Amino acid sequence: MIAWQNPAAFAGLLLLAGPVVIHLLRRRQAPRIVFPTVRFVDAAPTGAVRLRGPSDLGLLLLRLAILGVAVCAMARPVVLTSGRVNGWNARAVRAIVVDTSESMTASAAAAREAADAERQSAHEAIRIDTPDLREGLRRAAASLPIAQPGRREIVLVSDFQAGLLADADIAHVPRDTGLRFHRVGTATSSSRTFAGLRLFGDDRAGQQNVTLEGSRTIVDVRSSAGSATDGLQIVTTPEQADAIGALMRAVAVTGAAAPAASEPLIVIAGPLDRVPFGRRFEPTRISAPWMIRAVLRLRHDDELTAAAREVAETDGLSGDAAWVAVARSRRGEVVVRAAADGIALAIHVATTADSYLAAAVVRGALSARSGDVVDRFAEHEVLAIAGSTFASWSREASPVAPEMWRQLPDSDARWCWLAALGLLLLEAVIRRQRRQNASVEAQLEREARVA
Amino acid sequence: MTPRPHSLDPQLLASIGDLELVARVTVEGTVAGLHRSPFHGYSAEFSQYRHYRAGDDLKYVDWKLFARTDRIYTKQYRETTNLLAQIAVDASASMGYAGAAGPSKVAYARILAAAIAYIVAGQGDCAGLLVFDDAVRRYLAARAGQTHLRNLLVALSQVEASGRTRAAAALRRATDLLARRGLLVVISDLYDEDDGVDRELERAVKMGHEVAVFHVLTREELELPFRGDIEIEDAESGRRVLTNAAALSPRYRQEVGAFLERWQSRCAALGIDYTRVTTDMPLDRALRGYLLERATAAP
Repeated sequence: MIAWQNPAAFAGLLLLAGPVVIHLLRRRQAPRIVFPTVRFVDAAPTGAVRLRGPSDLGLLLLRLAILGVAVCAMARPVVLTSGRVNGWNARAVRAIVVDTSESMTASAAAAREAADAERQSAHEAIRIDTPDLREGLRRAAASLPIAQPGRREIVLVSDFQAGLLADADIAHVPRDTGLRFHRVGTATSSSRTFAGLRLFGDDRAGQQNVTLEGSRTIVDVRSSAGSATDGLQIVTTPEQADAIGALMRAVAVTGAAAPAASEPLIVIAGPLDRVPFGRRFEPTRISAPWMIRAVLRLRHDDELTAAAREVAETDGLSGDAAWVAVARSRRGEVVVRAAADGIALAIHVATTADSYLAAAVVRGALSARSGDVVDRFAEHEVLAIAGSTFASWSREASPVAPEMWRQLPDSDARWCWLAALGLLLLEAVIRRQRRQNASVEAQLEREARVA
Repeated sequence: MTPRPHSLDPQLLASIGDLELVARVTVEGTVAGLHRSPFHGYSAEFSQYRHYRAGDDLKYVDWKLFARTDRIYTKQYRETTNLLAQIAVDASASMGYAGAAGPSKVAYARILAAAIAYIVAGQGDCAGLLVFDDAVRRYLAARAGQTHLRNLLVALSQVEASGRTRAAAALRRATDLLARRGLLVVISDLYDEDDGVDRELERAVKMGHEVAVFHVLTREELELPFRGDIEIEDAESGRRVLTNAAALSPRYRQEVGAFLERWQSRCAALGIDYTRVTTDMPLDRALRGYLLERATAAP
């Protein structure tokens, strides 16, 4: 069976009509010569017959064959023999995802060994190193369709701490793609204690201490040194000044991470031109990585997003090159935006300091800023994904579907081009021979005339 | 020894617009070396005898009479009449064919006719012109004089090939227009009803006229040098014949050869001077043979 990767090229077969028409037209009209008299001229039957057919049928067929083969080449044929498909099934095309998170530091060598072994046994292997196994799995699933035909498989190499993968992540992998899980490294202890968040308080900050004991999580909060508000400044219009304290207390009660002096936040509630900064306030475009990460988390903060949509009629915050939009009202107006103010992240809210939106912004900003810390908590996980879970997730790679020829990076067109080239050479040789014969004939005729 | 003149390239001569110049060049290149005039008067009639006077040309003394009478008498003749030469030029469409090399047949005929007229007029004789296709297209009665010659050459220079051929009728007319015995020069490709033309030529001979035929053709008409399939269209009738040149060629050459042979034989039988020329033949060569024969044949 022959499959065609570019069947639209067969429209080029219309070109085959060209040589036929030319060959027919060329001989349809014999040259007309006005002569003094036709009294000595007889009609020759061969001349009349020859005019009805194309000149040089052999050469015409050869030229048609050249065009036809070239059109086939442009249609990119793939010859699908059972041997070829069996060959595809016999080979493995593998994406190897290697966990490079902090918990894998001790197991890095073992992970590398496992990945190399998987690579060597595959016909084609793609290696993806990532600290985020979820993201690595997604990239692996996206890279396999463009690889060469073969049984597709994803191998994950990790310590598989609990929470790294879930059923939803596995469900996104195509059903015909095999899945294997290669565990390296084991938990050195079933219990671990680490420092959690510094918590925001209305007067003093609290420090979390987190203990993981098997499946139990114990959080102990102790008062910590330093002001709770170091690293957080809330500014508003003079008439709203009293609302700042209430705002902070509200945020503290609901719980939020404490600010940090090294990554300060400024929350501005109200019109900029009416807020007394006490200094020159010149916002600039965000560029610091922690600010970028904080703004991205803020945009995905569900509570903040919901609060913004609840905002009633208000003048939206006008566009300015320094500011980036963070949240919009239901009417699409920007009600929260962010910019850099020196080393601080400035977040401007369109509503007053006593609004729900302002509270959501402060709490969200504190949480967003501490997201880097929270992200590292997963590395302390002492539990691992159960073996039974792997059993349910693991599967063999499906046999290659015949349609996989569509993913072939190249086709068998080169053989067609080779054939076309060979035919072209043959045509050139025949054409030259014809010309030589014609000139020999002419020479003989001239000699006969002279004689 | 008179140096042989250079061959006169017909293509070159035909490209010169001035027919009088062309005629002069042609004649000078042709008649150089001819010791006797090729054309001469036909009538030199004896008138009477008179006694010899001192100074008379001795060639006119009748020696026989002197032998009989012992008296010297000189012959006197009537005024020598001029030669009347009527030049009939075929200007039908078939004469317009040019071929690959050389001028068209009608252009060649123009130069031939001009040269002959120039020679005749140069001797003080009378030259006339009759141009024909299927009828007499132009006629100039034979007269002497340079003015008439110029008029004749102008008329010749305006001759273009067109129309069909009816040479027999035109030749009959040309013959009838010769008031007395004279010379009828026919310049044509003779693609006409052979019997009719033959009849008129014979009639002209029988009427006492001297007839010269210049049979003008191109090299292509003799050899048919075409290749492959061709469609040949008759220049006069428009009839078309689809044929293959290679298949046609042998038979064509045979037919044309027979055609030429027939005319040569017939003219020889009638005592007509027949000269076959091709348009690639130098003019002096075309004329010289004929003129030499005439010059040696003159009394």
